[in-house]
Formats: sequence, structure tokens, C-alpha cells
Amino acid sequence: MRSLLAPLTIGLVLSLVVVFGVQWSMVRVAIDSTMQNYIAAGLAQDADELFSALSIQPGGQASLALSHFDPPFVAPSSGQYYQILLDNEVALRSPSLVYGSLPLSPASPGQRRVESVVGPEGQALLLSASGYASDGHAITIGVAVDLNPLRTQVAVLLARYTQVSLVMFALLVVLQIGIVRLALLPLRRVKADLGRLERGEVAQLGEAVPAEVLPLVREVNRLLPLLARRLQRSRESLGNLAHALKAPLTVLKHIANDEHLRQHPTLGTQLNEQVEILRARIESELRRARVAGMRAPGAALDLQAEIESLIATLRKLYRDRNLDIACRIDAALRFHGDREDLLELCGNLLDNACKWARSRVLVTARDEKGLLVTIGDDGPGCSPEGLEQIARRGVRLDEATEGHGLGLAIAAAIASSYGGEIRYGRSPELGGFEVTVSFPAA
Amino acid sequence: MRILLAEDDASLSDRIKGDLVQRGYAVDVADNGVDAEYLGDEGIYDAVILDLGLPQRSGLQVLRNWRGKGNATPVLILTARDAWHEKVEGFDAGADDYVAKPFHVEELYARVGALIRRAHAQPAGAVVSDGLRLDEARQAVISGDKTIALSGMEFRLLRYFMLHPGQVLSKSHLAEHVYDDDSDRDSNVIEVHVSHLRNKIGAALIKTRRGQGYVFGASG
Repeated sequence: MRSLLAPLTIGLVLSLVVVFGVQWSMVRVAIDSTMQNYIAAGLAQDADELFSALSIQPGGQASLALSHFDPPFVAPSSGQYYQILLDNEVALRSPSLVYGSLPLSPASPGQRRVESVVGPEGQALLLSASGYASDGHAITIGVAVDLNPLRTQVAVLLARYTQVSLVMFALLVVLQIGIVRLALLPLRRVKADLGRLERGEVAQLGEAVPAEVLPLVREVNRLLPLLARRLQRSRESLGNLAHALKAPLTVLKHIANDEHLRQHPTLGTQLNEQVEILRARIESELRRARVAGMRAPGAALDLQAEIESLIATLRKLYRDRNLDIACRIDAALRFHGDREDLLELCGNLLDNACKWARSRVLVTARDEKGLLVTIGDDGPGCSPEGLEQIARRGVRLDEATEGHGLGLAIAAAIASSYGGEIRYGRSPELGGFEVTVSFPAA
Repeated sequence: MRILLAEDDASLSDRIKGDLVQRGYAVDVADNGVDAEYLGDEGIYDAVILDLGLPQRSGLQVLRNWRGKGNATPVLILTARDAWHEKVEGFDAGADDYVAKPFHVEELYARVGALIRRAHAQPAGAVVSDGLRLDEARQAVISGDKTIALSGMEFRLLRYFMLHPGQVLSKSHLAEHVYDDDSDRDSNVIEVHVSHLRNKIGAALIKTRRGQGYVFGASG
């Protein structure tokens, strides 16, 4: 199953990475070039100042008439240097250069160049070379500055900027995930609604959902009554079929016992047998077809109330036997499923128990990792071999006839249609037969 | 005893009616729900056999209407609808017994008999009153160690008397409960049958209240 949350989150994080990456490198480049331009402007100004202080003797000697030198130009290896070319020959060098020189190539008058060069002590220097003309001499003044101290500062600035960016990035990712989750929240509500629907707590899904999900919810809501109606219709037609088949069967059965047939006893017996086969077949097929199972959206049924109503019915059906039919069921227990299925399942088992009981029948139910219903009696029970046989082969519906396990077979078919199972044994309390139906946890 | 049989399948109702008449019951047949409800409200039936799948008005609705009006006639539901939820519904609507089709005929008649006896607070088994015991299978009455054979009408009358001991029963009331709608009713004929009964079981058991009717039983 594909999650909506994962691709949305991944997409958002990736786009944030791209946005932050582009921004970070742009800022870095901008700081770098701004710094270089600013420094280059300073260097050009220094060059102009040097030029204005420069005087050339008629002999071609150059000298600087500066009242005040910037101290870095004087201090040796200070990282700030100048060098003056006169007619392509090195004429003057700043004292800071000591014995070294700048890799300065001549610049034509009026030209101004900025380049990165390696200084005398291997430093990365930014060199500004400016060309001038004076008294027929071509003069090139190169001023250079060590970039390292500035680069260190810029690196510190960039590191701070990166830290802030990362924090912002993390905050944005968290915020985005939050927004995505918030946007998907209605889906969770629909999911919870579906769960409630399955447990029968609601009959329809709530329609207070975003427009994108609404068509889906509406479709489900439309299908639900359709499903219920279809089940209702098929049960109705099964009922009509039963009615249509059973009346003639009753007549046939009646004919088989007719006085006129007493003179032909074999005929009567044969007729009776065939009618019985027909009846058993119809009975088992119709009853099986009626089972809704988990196809139908169920309701949360009050187990105690439903069993009590069944017991009231059985008390009337077995009125003459004066059976003590007891029910020990927690009032809070709920069966999630179809009511007719529940009544059919428990009705068949209770009927079986009443048939065999001497005087007592006991129904209990509890929740033990899924619903557990037991129905026991104080009748003769089933021999261990018999139990083993039932456990091994099960009660097959097509083999079962009324009074010989049809009820048990129907009950087993209903239980299995809910993913449950039926076990047969001896009632520890009453000593007779006991059937345990266990349903899987919801 | 007069029984209303509400069943729309004519071939089936004919047979059930035949059997019941043979067992000494007066039987009327209704083949739809509306007629059945109307007849059931006449107050002349001692029991009703009610099919649920009746045309025009369902048997269940008919039963609910009767109970809603306080009509407590014992009702046995006879139906092809044998799912447990339908049985529960039937008893909830006020049925007294429930037999699913196809049924064993003897079971149906035993249950009808039990229904009527129960309605008159009679023990299970046989109708017993004032030293007499009805043998419904042979349509005879046992007094002490003596078995007295009865004609069909005598049996019907005696069963009705024995189920209503100490009550004043007019001739027309008796006629209503031993004849069905198709019979020619003549309350003078009742007199003749009563006098035959007196000859068989002893005149003291059936007393005449002049202008009112008969009272059965030593205490009456």
C-alpha cells in the first residue's frame, strides 16, 4: 500500500533542500564578489595616491614623496604591498615586500586590472594593477593585499549563515510535515469512521470531509444501503422460495401418511423417504444461502438481549419439558455482525442443547481475544470417539439431516463465515454436550 | 372446539381441515390475512392455526393486530419461514407455538391439542375433569375403568364441557364452538346430543339452567 504522507514529505524536503542550496551558494558568491569589489576599489585608490606622490627625475629615477605611509606598507610581510614599474622595469617596491616582488605585468595607461596572484610568501593576494602615463614614461602601479584574514572573517560569517539556514530548514521541514499531516487528518477521520462502520456503531460515513475525499465517501454511503437491500432482497426471495416449496412438500408428506396408502405400505414408505430427502436438501441449501456472513455491514448487537429473546422462544417451544435455560452473559458484550446470522447460529445450538438436555441448558459468553460463546447441556453428551470424529471430519452440511447435526452444521457454517470456529466437548458444569463458538477479535 | 385455519394453500388447508374434523374439531378456513383477522376477532375460536405467508395481510401483522386489540385466542404459527429470527419475531408478536413446514401431521395435532388444553389450565397429556378423562385418539371418554365410546358430536360437546367446567354454556354458544360455518346449525340438535351424553356419562354431570343453558361438573 502506498502512503500519501511519505511522497509528500519527501517532495517537500527535497524542494526545501534545493531552495536552501541555491540560496546558500548565491549568498556565498555574492559575499565573495562584493568583498573583492570593495577591496579592489580600495586598492585602486591606493594606486592613485601612490601615483600622485610619484615623481620621476630626469635621469629616470623614480621617488615617492609621501608625507605619511600606511604602516602596513612598511612593516615587513604585512600582507599589504605595492610595486611600481617604470617603463616595464621595477622602479619601486613597498618596504613590506622586503626582498620579494609581486608578479606584476605592465598595464597600458588608463588600464586597471584586478587579479588574484600568489605573493612572495605564498599568500593568496588580490592585486590591482593600474597603468598611468607621465612625462612620456609608462608607469604601472600594482597594489596588493593578502586576502586570507578577510577570507577567514567571511568564512566565519558564512558558517553562521549556514547554521541559521540549517535551523530554518529543520523548522520548515517540521512545519511542512505538520501541514501535510493536518491536511491528511480528514482521511484519518474517514478511516476511523470506516472502523466504526465495520463495528456497526454507525450506519453511514460522515460527510464532513474535504471536497477531494467527498466523492469516495458518498460512493461508499451509496453502496452501503445497496448492499443491505441486496441481502434483504435475496433473503426475501429465499423466504418466498421456501414458502413455495414447503407447502407442496407438506401436502406430499400428508399424502404419504394417507389412509389409502396404508394398503400399500412400501409405497408410503418410499414416498416418505423421497419427501424427506427433498426436504433435507431444500432445508440445508436454503439455510446456507441465508447466511450473510461478513459480506453485510453489521451492527453492534447486544448479545445478552438477543440470546435472552432466543431463550424466551425456546422456553415456549420446549414448554412441556420445563427446562431450566440459564444465560450468563455480560450486558456490555457486543456481537458485530448480522442479527439473523447470530440468531440462526445460537438458535440452532440452543435447540440442539434443549433437545438433548435432561433439565438444564447454560449459555455463557465472554470476551477472550475475541468473542467466545458456549452452550452446554446436562444431557448424555457425546462419547470421546464421537467427539473425535466430529473434530476430525467436522459436521458436513450435505450429510447432516434434521436431528442429526444439521443444526450443528449450519452453526459451523455461520461461524466460519465470520472467520470463527466451533469446538465440541463436554460441559464442565453440566456434564453434557458443550459447543464453544469463538470469533476472531475485531 | 372450533379452530380457525388461516392458510392460503388450498390443497394443504383441505387436508389439515379434514384431519382436524376427524379429530373432532370444527374448522373454518381463511385464505387471506384480512379475512383471517376479521374471523379471529369474532371471538368464537378456541385456537388459530396461522400461516405467516398470507396474501393481503401478513400473518405476523394479523397476529399483532389481534394482540393489540386484546384478543388472546391461542395462536399456533404454521409456516415455511423457519429461521430463528422469524421464530423469535413470531413469539414476540404473541404466538403461543410455532410449527415449521413441512411438519409431521401428528406433531401438529398434538401441539394444537396441547395449546387448547394449556389455554384451559389443563395438565399436559389429556383433558381431565370431574372423574372423566378424554381419550382424544379414540374419541372416547374413560370413567373409572370403563371406556365409553362417543359419537363425533358427543365427543366435541363433552370436550368443550370438560374444558369449561362450572361455566354456564348456552345452546347457541355450544353450537358456535362445535360447528363450523359451513354446517347447518340447529340448537335443538344440541339438546339431543346433550341428552345422549347424559345417558352415557351420567345425568348429574350436565345440569340444565333453565333459559340459560348447561353447566358441566359436579360443582355446577
